[in-house]
Amino acid sequence: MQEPAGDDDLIARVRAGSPVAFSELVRRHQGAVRGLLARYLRARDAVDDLAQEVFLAALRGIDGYRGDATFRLWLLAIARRHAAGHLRDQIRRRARGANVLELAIMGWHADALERGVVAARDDELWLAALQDCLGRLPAESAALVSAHYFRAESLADIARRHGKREGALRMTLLRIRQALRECVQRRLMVESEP
Amino acid sequence: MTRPEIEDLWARFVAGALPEADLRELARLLETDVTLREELLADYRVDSSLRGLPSDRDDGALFVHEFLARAAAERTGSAFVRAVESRARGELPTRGLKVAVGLGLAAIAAGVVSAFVLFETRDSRQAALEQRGTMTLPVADRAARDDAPEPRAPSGAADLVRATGDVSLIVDGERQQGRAGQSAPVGSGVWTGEGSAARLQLAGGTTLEVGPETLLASVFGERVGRGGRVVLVSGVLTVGVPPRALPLLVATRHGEVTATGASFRLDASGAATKVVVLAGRARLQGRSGGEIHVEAGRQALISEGASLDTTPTRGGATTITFVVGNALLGPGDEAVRGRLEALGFNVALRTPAELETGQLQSSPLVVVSSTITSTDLRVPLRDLAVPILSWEESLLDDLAMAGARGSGLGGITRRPVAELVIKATNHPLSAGLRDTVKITTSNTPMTWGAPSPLAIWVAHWPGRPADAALFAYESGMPMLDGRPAPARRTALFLFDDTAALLTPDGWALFDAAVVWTSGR
Repeated sequence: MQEPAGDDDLIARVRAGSPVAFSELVRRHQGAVRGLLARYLRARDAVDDLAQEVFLAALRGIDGYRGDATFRLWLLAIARRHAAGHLRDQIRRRARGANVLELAIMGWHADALERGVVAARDDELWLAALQDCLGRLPAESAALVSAHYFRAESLADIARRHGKREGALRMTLLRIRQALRECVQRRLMVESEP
Repeated sequence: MTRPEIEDLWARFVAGALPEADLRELARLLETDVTLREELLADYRVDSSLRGLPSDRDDGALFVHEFLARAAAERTGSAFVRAVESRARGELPTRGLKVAVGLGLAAIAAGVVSAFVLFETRDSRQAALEQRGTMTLPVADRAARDDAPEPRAPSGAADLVRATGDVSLIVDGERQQGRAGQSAPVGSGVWTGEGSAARLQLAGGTTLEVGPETLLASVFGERVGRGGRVVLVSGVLTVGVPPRALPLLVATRHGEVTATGASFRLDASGAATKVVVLAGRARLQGRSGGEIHVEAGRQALISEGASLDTTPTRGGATTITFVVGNALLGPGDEAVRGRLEALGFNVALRTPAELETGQLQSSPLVVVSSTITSTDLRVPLRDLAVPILSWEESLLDDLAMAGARGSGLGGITRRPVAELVIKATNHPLSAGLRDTVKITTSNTPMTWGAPSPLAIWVAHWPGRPADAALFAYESGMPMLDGRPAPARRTALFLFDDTAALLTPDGWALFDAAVVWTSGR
């Protein structure tokens, strides 16, 4: 069976003018790029739009990729710059509907992105770690996450259906996210061990 | 503030349920306590990730598609869109011959997408979690979920409901002749030749009227959880999105237009994209930044580097005269007034008794409804040097456009009709239509005339080639009395209440008549 082309081969083909090769690079890395952007931007459309900008920038600047890091890390660096720029822009425009705390958070996120406080390698692994941790959630927690985050059900509706208080569900979700965060940190530490 | 109080505030904030005063308090707290801030920001990032986790393969494939469409619209990095344009403009290979990969957007998209399993019925991530969660869900909850409709995978396809003239679908890298009734698979391209037109129908009843010499790329009838998306590479596209449909996004090389419950026309033939909003409201975003909302009756240009701004669809003298039988409008006249306003005109209603020559002379267009009684007109219109669009059959002879009633040269159709036959397919008045066109939803009496052989015969009634349903005189053209037309004159097929029954094709002909007659 033929081995799939590596990123380096595809990049060489892109440089030779093959849009098909770049399409394959987009397919391979879109999940990581969108995953990184989704950590800092809450609007799904904004994530996808910005991810497209990232790939367009990568396509335009493909000749600037020297191969010092993996192509994915190079892409994620572009994504971080774009995310920071987008957040700064949102703050400047006082993004429609954003409240004072959301604007403050945008600023802190932009700072973090620009200062590179998150190790690039962690950015690369974070999404996979989160997905892995999601799969380890207890069944009841998984059901709540699925209902609220993936089926977009309101906490009020879930609470009504389960005969629970909305406030209690909010706190439950907070604890689930906390558990996920700790799980992700453990996974990243394991991954970074020699 | 105690830790539980902070957590309660934070959880309410993340859930979007925190009052302004508490928001400020929490912001102040996070500003001063760096450790707490880092912890809660980390939580916020987990929450954001869960909201937008892009882990399902559907979205991956669609993302690639959309990226290609956007790259195509921006003409970035490669010449493939330019190539597909030039190919489509006449150099496309004959039917059945593959377009070389790399030459066509459709070919590229198809090549990429074929590697995917598209449109799985469920998001695998959600399914996995649900499978785990079902074990402990209460029976009532499970029943509720079972009753809930299965998340439907969008077909993504669009239906080609009309293809007039030289219409091609570009599917899987092949050019195919477009035929009405065909389905345009997700990511298809559509090309129309000179004097040709097509209509696509997308999910939710959204319609795309594709004008002549137009290239659409990457047509998505529907995207996961979102509305359709299409790239207008060049040419003219008129879009109608019903109020309850998901929004449609149209991308051009200059920017994007998004709308629901709206009708708008885009012209991407030149160095900028011109957007005219006919009804409702559309959101415009430029590639180089900026966002504006454009209301019905206004237009905007999206071009590189220029800031977005709207203008009335007609600057300066925007008020036209609509002559009606009664100021309390019937359904036909009401529909016409609404359409004229949607086209960007201010409409001054006048009954025949209210008409004054001076007022008419300053009007850029006079529209005369069949609801008037022509003998009530006090102002002679024959030599008025102002464009006139009329569907009052008794006025045809006064205007020297056709014969008088009873002369056998004009009148109301003996039998109710719903279709007409386009004769002058290359004239702007044909709106890109050809052959037999259904213009009303049901049979109804309509107007006809027998104009001068020198007139522009645009359409006639089926089986009655001498009975013109739509005809016109260019300014200076000899009319039936041998004297020149003082300005453009157009006779339209409408009758009193017909406009309330018009189909999209019927309105397309109406719009074309207004645009051509007024010289816009």
